[in-house]
Amino acid sequence: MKAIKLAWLELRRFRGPLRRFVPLVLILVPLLYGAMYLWSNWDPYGRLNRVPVAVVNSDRPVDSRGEHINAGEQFVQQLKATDMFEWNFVDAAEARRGLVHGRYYLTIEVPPDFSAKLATTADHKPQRPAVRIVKNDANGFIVGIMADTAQTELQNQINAAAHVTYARSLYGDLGQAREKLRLSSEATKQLVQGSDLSKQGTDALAKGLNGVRDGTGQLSRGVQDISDATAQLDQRLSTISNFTAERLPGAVNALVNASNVAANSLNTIKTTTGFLGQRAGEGRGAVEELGQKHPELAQDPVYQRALNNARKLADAAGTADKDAHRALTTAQDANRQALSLQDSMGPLQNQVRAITAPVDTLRSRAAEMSGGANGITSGLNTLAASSGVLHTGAGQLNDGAKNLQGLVDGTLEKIPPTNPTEVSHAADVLGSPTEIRTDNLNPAHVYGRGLAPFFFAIALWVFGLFAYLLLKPVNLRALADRVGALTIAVAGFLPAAVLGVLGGLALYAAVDFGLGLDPEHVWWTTGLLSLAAVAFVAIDHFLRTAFGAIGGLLSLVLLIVQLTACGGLYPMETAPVPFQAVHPFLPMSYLVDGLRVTISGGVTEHLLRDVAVLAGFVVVFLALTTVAVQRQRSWTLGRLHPQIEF
Amino acid sequence: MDVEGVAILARGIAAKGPEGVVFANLDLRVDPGALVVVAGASGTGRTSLLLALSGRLPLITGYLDVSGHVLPAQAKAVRQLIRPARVRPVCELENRHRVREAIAERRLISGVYEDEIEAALAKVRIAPDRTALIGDLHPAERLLFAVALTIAAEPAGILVDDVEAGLSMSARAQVWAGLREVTRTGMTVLTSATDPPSGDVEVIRLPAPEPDHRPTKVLDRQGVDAP
Repeated sequence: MKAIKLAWLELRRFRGPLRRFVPLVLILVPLLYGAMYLWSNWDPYGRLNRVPVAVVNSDRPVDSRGEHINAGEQFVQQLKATDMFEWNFVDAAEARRGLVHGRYYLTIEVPPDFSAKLATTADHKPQRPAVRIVKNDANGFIVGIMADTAQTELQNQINAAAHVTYARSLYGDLGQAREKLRLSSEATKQLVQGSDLSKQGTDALAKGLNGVRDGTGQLSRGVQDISDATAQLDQRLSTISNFTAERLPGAVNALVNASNVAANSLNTIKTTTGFLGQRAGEGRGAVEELGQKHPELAQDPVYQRALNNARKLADAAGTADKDAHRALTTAQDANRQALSLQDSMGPLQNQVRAITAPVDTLRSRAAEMSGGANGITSGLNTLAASSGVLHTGAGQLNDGAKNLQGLVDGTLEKIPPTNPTEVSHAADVLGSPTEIRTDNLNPAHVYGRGLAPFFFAIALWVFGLFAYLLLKPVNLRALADRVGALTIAVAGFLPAAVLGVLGGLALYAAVDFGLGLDPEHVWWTTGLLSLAAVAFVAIDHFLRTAFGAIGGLLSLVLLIVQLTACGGLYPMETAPVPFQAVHPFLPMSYLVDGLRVTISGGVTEHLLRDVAVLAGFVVVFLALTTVAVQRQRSWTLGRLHPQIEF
Repeated sequence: MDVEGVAILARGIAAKGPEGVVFANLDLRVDPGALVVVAGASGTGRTSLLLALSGRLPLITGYLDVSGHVLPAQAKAVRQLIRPARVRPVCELENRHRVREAIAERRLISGVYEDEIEAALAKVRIAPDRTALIGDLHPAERLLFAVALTIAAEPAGILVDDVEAGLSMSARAQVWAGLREVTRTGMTVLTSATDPPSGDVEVIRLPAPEPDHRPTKVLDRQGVDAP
């Protein structure tokens, strides 16, 4: 309880117009520091779209497989549709200049062979095109890290462009394959038509062979009938012979005539059957010849059946011819017997008349045989014609098949390879069709080296802040005397300035030898650090001289403002507008910028500008301090008894 | 050492600070070569008045004339005439300097020579060890050393604030004696003290501040004319 009361009494000390705000200011210090810092760094990644980035499209479109591939333009369009960064589509020279001078934080370059490499997708060995990202740590280190995180999204964009190109290329191939398949389809139709013709030819052949078979059947039956009739005739003639010997010697004349006629008829028959046999033989020969000419038909059952029938027909015709010949011989014998009996066997006359009936039958059957022989002829004619059609059809069939083969082969070549190694390579390339190569104009290499400018700046400012807590900014004895204000100002400024330079060099030495800062330009780095120490001391000296203890507070506020707005961490474009507005007026901005150049490398113009600005700060603030000193030759009660003192 | 001391004439002057009026409606008159003591308790505005009379503190009203220079227009000229030997916290020696360093500083500040400082030390009758730290000097000697450094440049008037602070009775007598010696050169010595010494001094009394910080009442000049 006692402690609490004592604590309260300590706070009760802060009375008076200004002093009462001391606890309030103390309360506000965390807010000031934390809130400012968080405000400026609240969402730098969310404001990446304000970071200027140059995009260079050097891609040359190519025509591949009938498709116009312009992947670079596709990529550019893809980027325009997103607001990852603030895109500037410029040429290579401008991008380079802008990156060097800090107008752009990154450049993204699409190489000239981007489309050409993408067009190799359907080849056996697809190539992976690369997009080049160039950073410059002389413009800030963290933005490079931000770019790394954005790289995944960028890769997606590039891949999307590549996939569109692939799709184009693939659809081009598909179109070509489709055209080939359409031609194949037409060839197939021709083949079908050819095989139709072939089928019709086969049908005609079958019909012709049927005709042959029917004709042969008729012939066979006719020959059988002839045989039967001849047998009957033979029997009757035997009966007649016996009868005539006994009863009808008078009929012999008739018999002689009749037998003569019969012999004549049989002679005719014999001629017919001979002709028939000859024709049947020719028919068989024709079918056999067909078989020799078209060996492929030899295995055809229909053909074989036709050949068999033709052979049987020829055999049957031969048999018929032989029978007819025998009958003729018998008839001639009969005729001779009849002639010998003619005079003596008249009664046989009537019975011989009866012979005419079978002979009539024989004659009509012989006519039928003739018709059957005709049928064979016409059937064989049809067969010959059909085999011609068959030949034509087979030729068309062959042509169609050849066309089809050519088209299928052509289409086959369009289809990507299936060699396992090539497939795995192609799958790899297709899965991630592009790669991003990053480059850095002035690499800082490590985080510490990249952020050293920022922390050096903080260190030097803190030095200035502390220096005049311990050193007296103004020699009051000199102030009370005749000494010039400028002399007093410089006299108050120099001790801290010299100590600041030494402090800065000590810091540099520790970081260089201890941590390995290894700056690009050692003398520029140390010189710039010294100049900045002097400039920061000049500012703090002025603040302490003009505003006393309040000046120390102002210096603290300035430190916080500069931490957040000097651009030491994130690109200024990602900071809220107020920070961007004060950025060019803060001395720390120029130290950070200059140290980046001296440590990581960069443009000398930047460095010279930074040196000039920092030197300007020294001059301006020494002048301001001089004015303040001059005004302090006259005191105020407030200064005489300051309400707030450190 | 022969100096034309400053003469001061003030009518109805007043000064104001952040916490209210420090002094108001004050009339006074100081002759050249006088030893003036602004008497009053600490916090009554003694230092402010000394600064105001030497052109180092702006007044809010009144007429002030220092050797023909009218303030505030000619404050710069007045500051050249009247130099502070010790005014807390406006002008004090650095306790951690050595005596010779303080002398070296003074030579730089005032452009005086070593022998002039020697003469001034002799005038106030001290001979400090050159290697001693200022902070180690006896308070009376320290004050007189500051006075000596200031009078070396022979200003027309000097300011010595809070003369008696931390001094024993004998030391006070030594200091007052030294300051009287300074006035013998014709220099006007403006001092402040809680209790004015006896003898030929001009005393300006300041009343204790009222708790409610209302304007200070009219203060009458009380002085004893020099013989």
